[in-house]
Amino acid sequence: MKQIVSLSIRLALFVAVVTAMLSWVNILTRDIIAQRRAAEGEAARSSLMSGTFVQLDSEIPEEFSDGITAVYRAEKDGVFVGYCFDVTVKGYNEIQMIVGVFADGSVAGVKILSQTETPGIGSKVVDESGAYLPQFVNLPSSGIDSVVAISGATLSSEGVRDGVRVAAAYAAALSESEVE
Amino acid sequence: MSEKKPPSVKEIFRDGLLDRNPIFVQLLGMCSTLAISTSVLNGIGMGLSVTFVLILSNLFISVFRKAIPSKIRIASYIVIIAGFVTVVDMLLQAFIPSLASSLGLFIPLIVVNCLILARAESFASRHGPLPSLVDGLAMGLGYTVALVIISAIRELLGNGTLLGIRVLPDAYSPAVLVISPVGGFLILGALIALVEWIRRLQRKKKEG
Repeated sequence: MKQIVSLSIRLALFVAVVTAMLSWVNILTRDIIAQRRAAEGEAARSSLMSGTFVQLDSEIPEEFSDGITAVYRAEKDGVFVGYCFDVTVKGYNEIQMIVGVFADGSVAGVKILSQTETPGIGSKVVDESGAYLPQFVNLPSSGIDSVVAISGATLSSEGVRDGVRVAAAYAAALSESEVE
Repeated sequence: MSEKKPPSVKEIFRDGLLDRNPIFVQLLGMCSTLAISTSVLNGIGMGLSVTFVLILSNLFISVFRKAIPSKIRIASYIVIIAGFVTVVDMLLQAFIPSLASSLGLFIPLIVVNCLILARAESFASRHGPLPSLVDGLAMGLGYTVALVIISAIRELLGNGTLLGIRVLPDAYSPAVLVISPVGGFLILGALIALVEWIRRLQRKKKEG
């Protein structure tokens, strides 16, 4: 019994020391990481559409919350330009991306924030200069289903396409409520 | 735990780079090796991350080896290793974000890379801080070199590039098989055989 207590105290001590070290490094890096993420997102949104972005704080409906994690509304000179969505989808692995949808419902484009698709296979899908992503630029929402997948990378292609589809559907729902 | 006479620096490096190379001879940490060795940049990044963790965990475990009761040594090692891995993860995300995103999940998974626990158990817990630090460096470099060799072959044959720069002519159609997990196993197997052959030749030479 006594031995168990002394072992537990010692292990707890190790854990405490390591935790202290981690919280110190966390304090050092936390702001840098958050700033970098915010700047990355802002740059990606600005490349999709021009205007100032305001994040919508209304709750995302359940049918869209599986995938969409944040919504930004873009306005330029008081005129509504479109929405940008932070979307997380399952390709072969997890893909985090931003999907822009213009006010008329057409897709502005897709920007990849982070992905771990297989290099040489799934990476062709998420490569911005590849054959897949440019298909989404200025694409009418009716054209999403006819986007051509990359052969050999069906899962990654479908993942991205499904994400765009959800974003377009949510944008349509949002625009409707805006008219009311 | 019995204290052993530390091997010389030259022996430690020879062990890490060739005789007990973590990947080619000890076959440790195979999961992340096969998963990330698809590009040279990933190989270097992963290798150096593991080296960093290995040096620090070896050093700390060696310094505290007399304070760590043998009954809870594995738990203590894991706490220390997990701590340093999380530090690496946070530092990479803050300062080398591109590498952090391409290595993804495999950075946190260094915690369960058996190479690090194996060095803690078989070396750091039995030797002083300085040899342990050198052992961490040597094993880490051995791991890095092996990863770079594997990933260079896979990137070149599977993608036609090295470090992301196109090397082979456009006419070369990349062999996707090499990038796939199957190709990883095949290349790793061939390299293990090659290293084993070299070591055997050396042994024969020694025996005369």
